[in-house]
Amino acid sequence: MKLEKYGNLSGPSLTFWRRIFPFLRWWNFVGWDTVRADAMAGLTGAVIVLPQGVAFAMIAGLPPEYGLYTAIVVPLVAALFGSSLHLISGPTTAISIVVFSSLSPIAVPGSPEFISLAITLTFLAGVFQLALGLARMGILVNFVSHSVIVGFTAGAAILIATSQIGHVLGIHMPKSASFFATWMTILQEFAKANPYAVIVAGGALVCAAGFKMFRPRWPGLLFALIFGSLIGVFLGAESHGIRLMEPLPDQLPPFLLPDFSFDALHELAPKSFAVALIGLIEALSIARSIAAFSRQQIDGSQEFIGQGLSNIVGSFFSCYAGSGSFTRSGINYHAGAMTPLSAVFSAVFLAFILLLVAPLTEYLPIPAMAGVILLVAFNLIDFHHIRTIIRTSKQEAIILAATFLATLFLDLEFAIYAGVLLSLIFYLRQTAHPEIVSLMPDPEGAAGNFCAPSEKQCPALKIIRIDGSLFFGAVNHISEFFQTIDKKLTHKSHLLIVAYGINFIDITGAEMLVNESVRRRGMRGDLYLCGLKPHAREVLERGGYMDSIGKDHIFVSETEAIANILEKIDNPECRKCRAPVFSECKK
Amino acid sequence: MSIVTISRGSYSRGREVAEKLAAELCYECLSREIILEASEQFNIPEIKLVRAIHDAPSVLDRFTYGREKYIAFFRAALLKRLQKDNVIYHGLAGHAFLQQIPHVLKVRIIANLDDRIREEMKRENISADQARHILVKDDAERRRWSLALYGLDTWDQRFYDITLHLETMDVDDAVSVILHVLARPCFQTTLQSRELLDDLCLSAQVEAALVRDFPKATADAGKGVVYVSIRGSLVDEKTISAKVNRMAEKVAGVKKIHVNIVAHSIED
Repeated sequence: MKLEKYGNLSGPSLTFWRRIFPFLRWWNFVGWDTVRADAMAGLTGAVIVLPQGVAFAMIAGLPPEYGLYTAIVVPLVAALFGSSLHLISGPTTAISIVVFSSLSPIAVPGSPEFISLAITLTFLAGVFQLALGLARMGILVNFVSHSVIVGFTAGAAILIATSQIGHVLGIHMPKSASFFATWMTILQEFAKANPYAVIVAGGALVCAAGFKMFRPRWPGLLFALIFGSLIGVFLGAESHGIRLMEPLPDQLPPFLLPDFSFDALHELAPKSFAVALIGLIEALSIARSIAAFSRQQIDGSQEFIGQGLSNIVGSFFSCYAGSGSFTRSGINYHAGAMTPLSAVFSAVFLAFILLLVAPLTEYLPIPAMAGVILLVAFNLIDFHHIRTIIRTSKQEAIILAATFLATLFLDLEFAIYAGVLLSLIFYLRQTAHPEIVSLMPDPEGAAGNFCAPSEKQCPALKIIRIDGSLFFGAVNHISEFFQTIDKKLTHKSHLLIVAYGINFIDITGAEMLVNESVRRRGMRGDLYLCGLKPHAREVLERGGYMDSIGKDHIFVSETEAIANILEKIDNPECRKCRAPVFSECKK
Repeated sequence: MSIVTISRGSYSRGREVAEKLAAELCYECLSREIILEASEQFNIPEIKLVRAIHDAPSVLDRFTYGREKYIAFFRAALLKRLQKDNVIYHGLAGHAFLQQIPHVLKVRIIANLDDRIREEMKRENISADQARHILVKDDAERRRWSLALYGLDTWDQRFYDITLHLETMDVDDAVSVILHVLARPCFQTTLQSRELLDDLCLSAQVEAALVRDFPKATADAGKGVVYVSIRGSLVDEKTISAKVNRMAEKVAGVKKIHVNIVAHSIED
């Protein structure tokens, strides 16, 4: 009865509708208290996204209003159809930079052709995301490790910062230049830097950083832009060659059809798949990060569906590709949002703000915007996790470094693929080399306790524990270990494998065990197994491998195994053994 | 030593059964007195309380939580009185609040609609159609109220120990049947059932203490230890916990409080 206060019990038909319309799953939780909390969080989010939307659209090579359109439509649909309660979608740095790097080689940034391609790219990315979600492929994102995300984000942050240095210094930069070429230009043109632009950018940057440090819940980015604009007005921005933004049109997202021509679809399909993938990885990673705080269970596939639908719907309302935003999701959660209605409120408030303040944006100096973007880029670098990864694991550090460098010097989509590929290679290498531990009875522990062997070892029986699966990839490594035992300790022809750590045995692994059993018998020894898990035992039984190894060679525990094995052993070494290792030897 | 709750529709003669039963057993007979007590104890208008426990909740109620407040007050007052034992309660919500308590005999009294219409016509001096309309509406309101708040259908027989149809049997027969059932050992107060009622009562007192600030708060008490579930963001966990502790520790009988923040509820 208590639980019903938090939601009504559901019948099968309601379950069906909740699958189709996932917002029905949390709708019963909505009350006045949640609406109030969500409205407050939504208002904060709307103020935060205003400068971000403009900045990200610029990064994507689109007119600023497209960032705001994306910040209105995309989060609304994603929140209602996704899984996370706190994820805020919309324009993001990573997606913006991928959109820019994908389209700038085929159209001039900011041109009508570029806008049309960006919108079609968004539609296609949405279709891919929706298809992956409907196919329940949410699990795929599990293969993108945290190190890949951290490396990619850090690389993207450096790229974003690099793209803004020209605006900060007030120097002209060639469009769509590579990371290396951009820095070469900056170094060559540095002497021509406009000091007024640097002052405006520096002022906005310091202001934004100050708010972040001392008033993190306040809309610091917005205040920084206002501060930068005031400096611009005070210095007489235009007369000193500081570029100002074009005024935003005070209108809601207009309806616009994507370009459905075969040529456009054909050309954009591979690029949109990369956008879709990066968007999903970003959204799901952020959703999971926030869920770690909110203790919510995230359904990856549902999140895919939400992201896909948001991009499809958005593409009909002049939006470019969106994904989950770490900054805005974090602010949303910390502002006390309780349900996805906060994203809906944020969109509605942003629409009002757009209609009210759009004309004022013509006073906004581009260096001020660039200064703010520098801070956004800096905040994207997760120094804490980078340090942890470097300290914790060499392999993870290599993955992080490779992804980071690939992000800087290769196409962005390939950076993710490279990171994932490297992670999988390391993973496969690790699973192909299961840990094999030698064991012996613990002389100081209770009966049945085992420890790593000391100098005193049994000359007749070797006990090992395999921690990992016995599959085709691991067979070679394990066989090599078996051979090593013979090379190092010639008398140990009897081998007991403690199999508690073996979760899975495939046919190759089972055949390897049989071969080892036959080989040991030829050496006047034998092979024994104990602690087999039901699944592994079933494979051995069904394939007839159990009969070859011998059913009487399979034991439940180490103690039972040792007692039985020692009875059978007829090793000359045993007869002259003066320091028996096992308690059973003394009997 | 036991408690009887009688759930009844208007003009089903449940009141007569309750009063006669109380007289037979020398038990206290309670109904509207609880509303008055709750009204005084928690300083709220009686009429609002009556409406809250009688009328079905509207869509707006879901957002304003007014009803939750009044019901929490009413429940706290009712359970406090029932703690004294040897009580006959007839009226709304008794069966809903006391489902888990074994020594409470939950009785449902029903009567033919025609008989009820005749009774209402006689008392209110109205036409048959008017009486029928009022009774049908009244029954529907009570049913919706119980369903909306507790997921219990007042017409579902599983929530009662016995249902008596006052058609062939009269009030005396009904009282006689209830007396017979009440004498069974399963309806006698035991130490365990007493503890259950005490725990339920303490939960209700804590909920009533919190309901003005946390309308959806639920409390689950056991030997003075109270587990309180509060809707809220985990970001505000410390603030909410401190506030709940401050408010709940004033309730008599509370030894320790555990606060659980319910940040979300996702249904399948």
